[in-house]
Amino acid sequence: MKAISALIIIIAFSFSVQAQNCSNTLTGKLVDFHNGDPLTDAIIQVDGKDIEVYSDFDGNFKINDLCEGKLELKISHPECQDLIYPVLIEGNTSVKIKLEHHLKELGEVLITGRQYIQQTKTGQEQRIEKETLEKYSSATLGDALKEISGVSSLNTGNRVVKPVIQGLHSSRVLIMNHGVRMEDQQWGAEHAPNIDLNSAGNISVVKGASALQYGGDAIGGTIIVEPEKIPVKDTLYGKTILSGSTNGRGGSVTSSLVKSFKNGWYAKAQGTVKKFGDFEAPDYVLSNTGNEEKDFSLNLGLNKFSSGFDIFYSYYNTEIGILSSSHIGNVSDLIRAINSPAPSIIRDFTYDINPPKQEVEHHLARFKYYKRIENLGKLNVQYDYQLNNRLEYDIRTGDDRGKPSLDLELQTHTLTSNFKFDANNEYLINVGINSNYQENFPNPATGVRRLIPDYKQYKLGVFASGEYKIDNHWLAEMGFRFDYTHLDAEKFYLKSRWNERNYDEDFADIIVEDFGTQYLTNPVFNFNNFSATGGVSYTFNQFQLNGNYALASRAPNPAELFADGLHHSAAIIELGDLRFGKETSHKFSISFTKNKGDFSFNISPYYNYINNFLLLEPNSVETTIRGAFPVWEYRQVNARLFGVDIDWNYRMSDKFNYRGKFAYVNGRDTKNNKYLIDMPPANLANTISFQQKNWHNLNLNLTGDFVARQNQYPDNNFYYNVLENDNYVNTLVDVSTPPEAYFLVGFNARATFYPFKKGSLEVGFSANNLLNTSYRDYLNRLRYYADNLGRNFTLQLKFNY
Amino acid sequence: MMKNLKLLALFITAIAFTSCSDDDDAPEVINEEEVITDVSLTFTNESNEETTYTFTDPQYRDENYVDPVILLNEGEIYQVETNFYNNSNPQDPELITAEVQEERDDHFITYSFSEASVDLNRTDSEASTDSNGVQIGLFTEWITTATSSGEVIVRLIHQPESKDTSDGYGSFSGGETDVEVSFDIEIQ
Repeated sequence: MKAISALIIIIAFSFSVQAQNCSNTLTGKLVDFHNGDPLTDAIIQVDGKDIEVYSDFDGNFKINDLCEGKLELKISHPECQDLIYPVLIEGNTSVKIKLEHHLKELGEVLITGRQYIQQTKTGQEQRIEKETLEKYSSATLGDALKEISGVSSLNTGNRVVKPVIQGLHSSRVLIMNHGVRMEDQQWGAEHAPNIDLNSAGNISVVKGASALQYGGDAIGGTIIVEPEKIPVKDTLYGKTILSGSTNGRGGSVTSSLVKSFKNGWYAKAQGTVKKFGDFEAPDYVLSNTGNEEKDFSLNLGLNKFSSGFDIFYSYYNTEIGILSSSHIGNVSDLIRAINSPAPSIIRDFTYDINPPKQEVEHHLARFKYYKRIENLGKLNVQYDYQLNNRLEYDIRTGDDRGKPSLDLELQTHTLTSNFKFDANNEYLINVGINSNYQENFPNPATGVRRLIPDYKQYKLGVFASGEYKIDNHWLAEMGFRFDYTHLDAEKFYLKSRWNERNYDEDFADIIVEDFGTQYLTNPVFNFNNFSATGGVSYTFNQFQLNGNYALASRAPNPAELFADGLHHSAAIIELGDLRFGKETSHKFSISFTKNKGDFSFNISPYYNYINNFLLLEPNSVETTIRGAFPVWEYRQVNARLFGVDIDWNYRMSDKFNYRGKFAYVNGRDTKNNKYLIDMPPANLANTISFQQKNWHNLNLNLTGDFVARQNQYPDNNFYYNVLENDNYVNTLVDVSTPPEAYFLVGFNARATFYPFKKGSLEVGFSANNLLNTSYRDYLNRLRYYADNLGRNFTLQLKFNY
Repeated sequence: MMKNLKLLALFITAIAFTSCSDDDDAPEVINEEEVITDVSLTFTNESNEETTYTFTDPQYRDENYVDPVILLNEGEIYQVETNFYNNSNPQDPELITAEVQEERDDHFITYSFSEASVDLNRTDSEASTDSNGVQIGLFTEWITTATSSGEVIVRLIHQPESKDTSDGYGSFSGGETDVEVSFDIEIQ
């Protein structure tokens, strides 16, 4: 009671003082939160009064004639976030105010031409912005990534699109989705990334293993899918994109809504639905190639200056039909398919999706917390959980009709923490630890022997990376990482296979139980991987020259270790080996860039030497009761890849622009002195754009894509005796010869309108394969069976509100 | 060192999630149900004597297995019954023929001879004739026409696009091969 009356007296007193004295001076000093550097030329305003002053060269400012009492200062600096700062004036008052000066992390204002954090300062990195991603709204992540030179795709039809970076893919390409390392059975060549590209704000591609923070095994590269930055202000906005395509007679709807507050709280919801029926090649329907996808994501968090958190959940669900005619039995069926100009099954268009098909579901949940520590840096702690369920359906009979042939459930828990020391202007150091538990459960209800066994995997990684700004021209970067992997599997082997692989001699001690025709075994592996990167960057005039070396090493994936059976979609027997060791890559890359002026370019040559490179190649034919099958065995060889990616842009006038890109890669198995399989052929794309801002921001693009024939391929062809008219004919099975070169023309137009009180409407129209060219692609696994897609028109409406 | 790292990894992951070691039971064995491991041809000659020849998938052969050689006499008519088995689980051998018969619209059997002089007729009853009246080929009649030695390839095709029985041996288009095995034949 006494305290309250005292308080009342104090308040009353302070009011009376305020009324009397209005000649106080406030002096202040503005400094950078991180390193204490003074902030020059900041605007300081007093809320509710017509006062505005600037900070001087030493960060000092002075405001005269202030009354005593509380007031609020609004501080704005071109490189900082606006700050509201309450001050209590009691006589002549002095304050020291710290501002967040590292705006590149808050992402609202451009600093030195870049709005984003680069993942590598000395390696090769490229990026796709939101505007480009939106054009691919109804397509797949893999399609959009091909905008980047040196990125191609390994396809199974046209909806299973797996990114290939400078000739490497699957387990060699790491995908970070909203800060989470995707674990979605990425070892499989016909397993596309389980990401809705509409959830991305931008995508960066690091070519090579220079982004060590995410993993030391990214021999091919790292794809970083990041959400759009949510501004720290009171706002509510959203967008909806509707797309409709003639080919596939379907389309997509995607929508997002963001609510954020000045105090840092924000929430976002986003969802996508896609539906397509059978796609069409120029001359026929590609039966059973429909696709249905349903995704959504939710995001909630607090983005404060000194600390904050973020909760993210996303769900991805897709059902993809696999071309009916690609489901074949044995070598005889394969020969018939290769020698037939058109697919063996062509039915009328339908939206139905029948076996063979894939059904994949991916859940991703993430919790992230960060705290900035004054004069030191920023601490991040993150936990994430992923659940991936992959069902693959084959054509089955009897009681098994409608039952999947493959049912894999992969759960991954990851706990990550890193600390970024960014207080010093010259140094930036990032250290972190990463622990991970993974469990794979292949459901025995399929009644089909497991392709990938039950396993539990523990991983522990530690890393440290740093950059040092030597002067205005030179920057050096260096990083180290160590990963430990412990894999404990329970795998059944047919006794015949066990003996044929000579495991009876080397692994007799891992047999747990004898089941008549099969053994249950318990293979356990430990891998220690060391990776490192180092590089320099030199900036002069309008140019930047980067040089980088990256050492990466990767433990063999479950398919490479355990595969031991018939792979239906390819009509091959795939054999892994328990004896495999890790794969180690040494990559040297250079990147020469000019990014200012009317003519800009980037030239990125590289050389990648890979020791113990794991590849899958045919080596014999095995006879089974279903006929003969080529046997493809995983082997470890030494490989070297070199190539170059080039991008260029010429702004001819304020209306016309020309840009192009080119990529070439040459891969060779140096152990057996032959070319590597599935290397992307040389490709060249040219685009001419016209833009007229006054005509509703009209934008027209005409693109020509040329893909050369791959002449550097290994000859894996073999002969097989086919019975024709009572005689055996020795027939060539041509599984190697790449298809011819092709040239595709594309067109796209867009314009923006303002038909509503608020917001805008963007109308886009695009045409792919405008000339309806029939072609096949070397990197499409279904190229033996059918042509690629014919002409397609897409109409897209984007509402911003 | 290794042990410590594993413990550390275990420890760190255990902090965040304590309930992930749900089962340490061994995974259950899968004996594939749809697999065909054996194909047999049972010949009944004119004197009603029965002989069976069986081809076993190389993955499921035991050490006593010898490749079957079909011995026939020239100028004789044989009634032949073709059967498919799944013996992948030795405790529970399974006859697949009944399933083929049941799904006769989706199945078709062909016989291709190389240098063996055999005329072939389909003798399937209604039970193995599909809804289009095509005899799928589980029951056949073989007429040996000359002394010769060669091979016969027996195929079981699943979901062929078309079936053709105009010459008894059978031909088809499309579909997936479930069985393709070759038997040696000696006609004396």
